Amino acid sequence: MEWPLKRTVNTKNIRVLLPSIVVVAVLLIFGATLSGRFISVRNLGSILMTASLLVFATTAQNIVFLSGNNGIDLSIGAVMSMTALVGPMMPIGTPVEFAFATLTVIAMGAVCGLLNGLGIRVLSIPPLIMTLIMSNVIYGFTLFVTKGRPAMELSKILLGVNKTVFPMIRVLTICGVVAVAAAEIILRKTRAGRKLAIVGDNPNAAGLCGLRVSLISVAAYVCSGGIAGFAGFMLVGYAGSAIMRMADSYTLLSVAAAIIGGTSVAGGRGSFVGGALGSLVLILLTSILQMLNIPQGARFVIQGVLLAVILLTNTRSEKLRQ
Amino acid sequence: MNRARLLLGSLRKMSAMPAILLFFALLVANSFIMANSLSRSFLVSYLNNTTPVMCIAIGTSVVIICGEIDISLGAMLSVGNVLLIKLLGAGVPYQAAVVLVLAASMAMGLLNGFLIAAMRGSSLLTTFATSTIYSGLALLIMPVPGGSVAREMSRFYNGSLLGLPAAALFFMIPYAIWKIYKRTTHGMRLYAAGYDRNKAYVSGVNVTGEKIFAFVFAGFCAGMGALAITSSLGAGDALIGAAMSMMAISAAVIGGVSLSGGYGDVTGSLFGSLFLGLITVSVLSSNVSPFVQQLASGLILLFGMLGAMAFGMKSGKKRN
Amino acid sequence: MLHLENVSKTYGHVRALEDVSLTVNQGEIRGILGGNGSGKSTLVKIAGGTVVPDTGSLHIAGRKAAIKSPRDAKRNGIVMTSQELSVMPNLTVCENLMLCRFPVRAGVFADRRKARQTCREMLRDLGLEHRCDAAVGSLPKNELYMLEFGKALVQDSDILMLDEITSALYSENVDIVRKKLKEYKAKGKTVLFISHRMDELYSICDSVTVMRNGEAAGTFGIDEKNESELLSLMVGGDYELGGRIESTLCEKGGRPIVKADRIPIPRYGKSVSLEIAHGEIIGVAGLQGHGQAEIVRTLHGLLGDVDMNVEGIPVTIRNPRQAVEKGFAFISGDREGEGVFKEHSIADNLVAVEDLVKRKRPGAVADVLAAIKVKYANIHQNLTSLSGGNQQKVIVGRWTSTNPLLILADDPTKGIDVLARSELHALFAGMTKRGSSLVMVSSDEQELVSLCGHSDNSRVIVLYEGAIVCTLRGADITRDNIVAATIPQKNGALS
Repeated sequence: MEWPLKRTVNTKNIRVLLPSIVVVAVLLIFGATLSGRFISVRNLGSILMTASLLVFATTAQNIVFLSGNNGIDLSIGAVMSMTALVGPMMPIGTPVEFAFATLTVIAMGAVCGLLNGLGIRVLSIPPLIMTLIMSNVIYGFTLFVTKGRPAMELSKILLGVNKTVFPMIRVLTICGVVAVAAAEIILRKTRAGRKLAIVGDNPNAAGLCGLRVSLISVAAYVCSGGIAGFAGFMLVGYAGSAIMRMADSYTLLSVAAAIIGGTSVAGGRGSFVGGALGSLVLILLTSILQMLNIPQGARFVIQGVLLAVILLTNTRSEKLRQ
Repeated sequence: MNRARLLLGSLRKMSAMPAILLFFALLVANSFIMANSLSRSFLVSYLNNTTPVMCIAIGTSVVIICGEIDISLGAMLSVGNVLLIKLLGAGVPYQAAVVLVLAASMAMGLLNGFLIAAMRGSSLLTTFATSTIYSGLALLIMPVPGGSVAREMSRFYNGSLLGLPAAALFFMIPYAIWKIYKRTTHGMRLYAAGYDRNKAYVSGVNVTGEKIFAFVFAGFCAGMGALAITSSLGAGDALIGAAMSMMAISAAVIGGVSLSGGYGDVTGSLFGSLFLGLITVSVLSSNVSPFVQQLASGLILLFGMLGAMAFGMKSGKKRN
Repeated sequence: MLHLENVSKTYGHVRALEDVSLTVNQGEIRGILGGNGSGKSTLVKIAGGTVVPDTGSLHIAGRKAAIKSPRDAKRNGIVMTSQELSVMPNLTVCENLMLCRFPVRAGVFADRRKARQTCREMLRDLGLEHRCDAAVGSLPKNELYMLEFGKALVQDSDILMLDEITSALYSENVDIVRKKLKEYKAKGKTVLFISHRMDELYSICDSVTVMRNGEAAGTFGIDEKNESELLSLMVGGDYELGGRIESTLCEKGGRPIVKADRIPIPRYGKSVSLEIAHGEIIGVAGLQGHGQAEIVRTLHGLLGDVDMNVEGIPVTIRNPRQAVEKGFAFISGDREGEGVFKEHSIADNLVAVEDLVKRKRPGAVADVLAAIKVKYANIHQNLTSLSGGNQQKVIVGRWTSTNPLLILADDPTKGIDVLARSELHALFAGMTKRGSSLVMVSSDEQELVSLCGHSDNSRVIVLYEGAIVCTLRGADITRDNIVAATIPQKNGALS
């Protein structure tokens, strides 16, 4: 019998993604009717890039959701802002230096994730609280290191994420696609991925089976931090400069995108492809709102209502009365 | 002798103990570092600054005790703040404006309660969503900070009432309401619903009703906090409450309120807020570079939290 | 007094109640007897308001009543105790007892003085007066159930329903329950008493309704049928008390494979030593909470370090991972909390250990499922789509392919119907035939008899307060002997 079982593409998985695909189509059509510029190559390319940044954040968030135990990572935005500001402080002139800087930002994010994971597993601090406090500490650290100065004058290599490879597809977009594909394959086809989902599904049972639940849970936060670190580096390359708290909104959006994509916040069930589609939905929505010149306040309200609606259709507690 | 030991024992079991100790320890430590830190003027101004967070901490605690969590209270406070400024600026009489702000806050609390208790949404994520909605609302009402209030308001807030700082009125009212509620049978039912909603339901507790009360009460507390901060600042800012929700939760945890529900009391979170407020003031007035301040407060908050949770674990109330 | 008419309830694929009608007269103590899955709990929960039926109606004293919540039920004079206990450690004993009917002063304020008074009286009646100021979290299980009972009594309702309240009680507690129920009946009240303990039914109830497979198999005066007849009605055929399985002697004989000298039982400050032979079946009996669970859980590394000899080599097991490495398997009775991966498919659940922990390419899933006799449509369907018994079979199947040295089971057949239970026993027997040893804790004495009864390579140990007080082998393994050993006589002798 073939192992792992060939079931990555079966009806149940597709059915979860269907609503997101439909919504993406609807939003594209809606945007196009509002303005022909919306579906221009340039605009779509830019949307795809922003979506790719969100995809990184969502992938990180998905890993933490999958690990169960009410896992959530609210420090993703802070880590992204940190590496966006601190990353360019390193020399990135040559490809070697660039590679080294990339590894460093990933390591910075991973360390934050490790601290999160340890606080959560060893000290039993609820993930929401731990990651929220960490985000405060990370902001403080960032402020301390950068002395409040924004990042400017970036190296050409870093700005290279904006380079067009195909029409509509820039380097950053390709990175995003690769990240999602890699994550999904790891989840379904490797032992590490399967272990993560099993542990998230029922940590007690997983422990009884002999799995190292604490190690896997902490590893999930380390991965999340590392990915967020990388994403921040990509963010500054895309934007051309960085300021404090620029990645704040990514945190909430990553939560929303993951849930839209069918991930269970209780753990054990999730899809990175779904998260990518969810990210696309949210960025399309944001662009349409921006195009309509809707003030920031109204945008927040719409985002919040959307998230609330998604939550109430997806993650409700059990009825008291059966 | 025995009586003293009994008293000591029951003091140790008091969930508010770590917060009270932390607060007084920091107060004493601070008096060595900072001049005039025990003077009346300093203490009063510090209390006035901390009052808004204390109001929110009361509401947050009650929601946590009933088994849920509300991270949208800071955003609700922002809405109250800008709404009050706008109403006063439009010439609405003070009393009417206050009533409207409190009503709006309670309405927002009711929305939270409805979505969570009646529609059974996850309280963390749902209030995450509503905090975005309320922040957006605040921005819509006042996109740019500004406005002003009548001087009488600030003077009242910074003055005294019967020898005590007038600001204390703003958090004493919700505190009193809670204490009265606790004395009714609803009090223990709220705790029951917080510990285990199924067991409470089977015991005939109206779980949904108790939780909706908690959220509406939290809204009321946010409204009081909005009144306080508006009187204190004299202006409106849609982002004023952004960081307060988290501070309130930290204050509650430090104050001995268990995040799993059913344990703890509001008194602890009041001291927790005072402790956190004192940290901010100490860090701000110390000679530390402003770039380190944020990091320092973040770290102190982290360790304060860890300490409080460790204490909670030792008292045998650890439940996940 | 209480009349349920044509009540049905379906949960997903499972038909819990099928067109059941029940009438209980005022002043009657009606026992409700039934196996797992018979619907008895569901029936009572419908009257209690925690479950809403799909069809049917409920009538109290002739009037139709709409009961949609426990509050409705209480308003209509129906009070129910909870099998899972509704007392809470964050409230005091007094608050717990009076929660449903707390006295009030001036209409809203809690009258604590009056509550304490009533509480004292009730606790005195229940023999628990010394617990008036105790912390609920420190009370042992039997006292918690007595508290649950008191909480229901205090409400003084017309109809009282007790759902398996005696399972954790000592005999002196049961005596008090019996006395209070007779008093209650004398006041003209009606009682529904769910239990699977025959002796209690016979000594407490006036009549009994037997439930089977979601239907009412019949209602009889308590004098009309004897135990075997009632059991036959429960099972739906001729039930032979003490049915057994084939003896399972295997070739390798009784050499010791695991020897643990100090398995601590912290609650009683004692420790147990155990020697397990190859292919041996050890049943562990005793009242709930006397150390049985500690034995199997400690051996699997769940409760701290434990030193033992495994196949002659001394090892220290600190966590389940090391236990699984040594070839141990653990099957818990708490399927939902410790067994089922509810978001995963049957296949994923089945191969969890073999693939992820043992890192082996799993064998054909379909073959394993056939061997454990599980019916399914598609190996990729969710495990939760199967019945409870089949889910547990898959969980056992998770371990069969690892050829475990030692299977540790903590009440694995809890909540599973009779048929699936015997299939699980067959599974275990098959595994021991292939050389695994089995230590199984069970709260059902009959089950241990069936499992161990007629094999030379098996024994039943009985625990009492943290120590093994009795070991039974061969023909001595009978239900009566086990039950007698679970509560040693006052003079120390076994009856």
